[in-house]
Amino acid sequence: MEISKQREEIANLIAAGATKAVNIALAELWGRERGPAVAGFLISCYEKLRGHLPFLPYRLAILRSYTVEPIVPLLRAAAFVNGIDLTVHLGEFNTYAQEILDGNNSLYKFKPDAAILAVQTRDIVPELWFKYPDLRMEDASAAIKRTASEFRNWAHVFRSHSKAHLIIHNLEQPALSSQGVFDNQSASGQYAAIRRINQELGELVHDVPGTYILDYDALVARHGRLRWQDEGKWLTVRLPIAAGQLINMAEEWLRFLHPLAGKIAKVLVLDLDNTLWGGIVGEDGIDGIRIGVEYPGAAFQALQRVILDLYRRGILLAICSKNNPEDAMAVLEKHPGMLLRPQHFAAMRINWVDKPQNLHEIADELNVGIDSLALLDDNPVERRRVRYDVPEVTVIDLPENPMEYARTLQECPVFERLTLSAEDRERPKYYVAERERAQLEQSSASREDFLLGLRQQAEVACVSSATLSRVAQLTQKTNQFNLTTKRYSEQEISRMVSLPEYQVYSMQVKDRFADNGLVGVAITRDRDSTCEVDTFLLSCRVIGRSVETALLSYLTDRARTRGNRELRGWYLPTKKNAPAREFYSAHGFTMVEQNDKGSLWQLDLSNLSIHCPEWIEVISTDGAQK
Amino acid sequence: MTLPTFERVQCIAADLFQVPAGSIAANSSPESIPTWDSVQQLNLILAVEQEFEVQFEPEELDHIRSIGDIVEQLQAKLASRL
Repeated sequence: MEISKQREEIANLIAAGATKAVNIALAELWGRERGPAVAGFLISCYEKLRGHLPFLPYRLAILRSYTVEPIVPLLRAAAFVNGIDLTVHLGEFNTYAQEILDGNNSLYKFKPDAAILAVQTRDIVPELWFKYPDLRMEDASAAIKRTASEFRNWAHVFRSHSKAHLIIHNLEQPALSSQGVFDNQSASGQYAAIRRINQELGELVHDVPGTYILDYDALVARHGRLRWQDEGKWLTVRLPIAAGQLINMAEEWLRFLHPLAGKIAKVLVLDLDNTLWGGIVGEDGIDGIRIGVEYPGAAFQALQRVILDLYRRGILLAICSKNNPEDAMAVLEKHPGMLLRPQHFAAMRINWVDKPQNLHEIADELNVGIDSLALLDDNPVERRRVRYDVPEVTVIDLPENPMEYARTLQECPVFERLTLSAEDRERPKYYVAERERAQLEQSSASREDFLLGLRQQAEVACVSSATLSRVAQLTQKTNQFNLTTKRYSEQEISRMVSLPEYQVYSMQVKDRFADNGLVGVAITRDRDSTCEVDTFLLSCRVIGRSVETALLSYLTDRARTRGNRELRGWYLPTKKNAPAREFYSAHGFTMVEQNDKGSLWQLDLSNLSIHCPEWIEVISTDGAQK
Repeated sequence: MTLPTFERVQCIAADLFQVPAGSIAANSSPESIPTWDSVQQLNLILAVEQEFEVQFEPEELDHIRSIGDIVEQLQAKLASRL
């Protein structure tokens, strides 16, 4: 028997300790067949691999008004395939409200990382679902208001008891309105009423931090309302979702769990021939490949459009492809059908070197972990090779038909994001500018020539409400060029700003290629004519361009102006901050103290100034001193 | 995959209940398989529905007490589809 033989082979691989092979075999099995039976088998296999594979543990609570038990194994199997080991706590059937409101409930004792609140329209507002035509307008309005405020209250109470993320399903429309086609002939129909509740739910996201809306109505619509539901199962076992649709519910949940658990890809690495365009440019020539508005090139253009969407979401793009670089660059630069151009790519490896090595190089060049990469490649042999040699890389399985490429990429959960800062959105541009800088550096005669050619501008300012969150973020995230590695929250920074002895400076750096954004932070404290550097850090984005000297020069001048005689600061070594080790000695400070935590450095302000390098223009916008 | 209906159901049940396929017979039931509880009964029905692209009616579900019952209901459905 084919199936049991397959199971036997996997069992043998597990017994032999061939973890990588098992992992690949299980992922391929799941790719072919995603159902309850396979899910059961997968979970039992993966549970045996715990400790041998780097699973990310995650705890999920599901609060619900209907049967979701059969979705759980599908969700756990899919999560395992993607490297997440989910522990699931199911709330009792239809007791979600009590569970949320009671701070001693097993929900909170479970200590979830995230909770899902899945409630159906007919369970929470039965009057809108079952007897809409009987309702007077004021009854409908009251029902809308009551429902929205119930959700609001649950979200607030949940937040008061737990720090976990909360994912709220919005309410689905009936497949057929109880008013028939008349429903849409006025502004007060059944559909409009449910839409209004969903609008109010959408606002909850802004009011209660860590709350997210899952657009359940859109999910049901996407898969077809009539196909989604199974009245027979609803009426007998309270399972409203048809057997074949359960996997779609599980995968939608996973699209939230990936960004929440941090299991995300930051770089999309692309193959070229038969992935970005149809055909092989080396054989078909630039005029023979298929890419453009007409079929069959349109399928590839649709894929490129989705890739551009990801680029605008802050995901870096890279090329890893076996081509002659001249052929490939000609297409990227000149082909009229291409939407992606060289400036969209943060790194390129167009050569005949094998892909695992190229992927490692791309990760190094972009300064990200290898597990931040996702590969899109039409060639199953390459995919298998990468899965085996670099298992940390997410490998996306492309279907045979290019018309399905775009959707496959859209469905990929590792590119989902639930929050997006301005910095995140601009990230791909920083990296592309970095590539251009590297080219300038190569063509410059000396290091000084290069720095002069960069035409850097450093803008130093006191922290403001607009920059507070980024400044706090940098203290929390910066590991390399960070002299003291003190982590501060926004509240702590605000408190320092309110004290006269503290100065909190931020530095923004621009050059001819890009605005690097806010990349430097310095915090100082005056005491007895001595100004002590509490924090001094630089984002790794601008390390090695001597902007740290500009910031130090600036705060030295300010410290002197405020009447200080000395400037001193600790260097507290960590595993990662070696790049900052020579900072004080290189700028003429002398060491005055050393202990097991680090070294204290001092500069006499009366006879020494720090000169800002001539290739950096410093702009001060801090206005009057505090 | 063109295995006979019984063998296909047998494989599904084996995966779900975590027992060897060979140990599942027509008279296997919740009494003979300890992991066959009410949630797994539902999972079994859903798995069969998905595998064979059929849907059981509530009345039919009431009569399912063993693997043989499922196969019987299923064969009747598949026959009426021809």
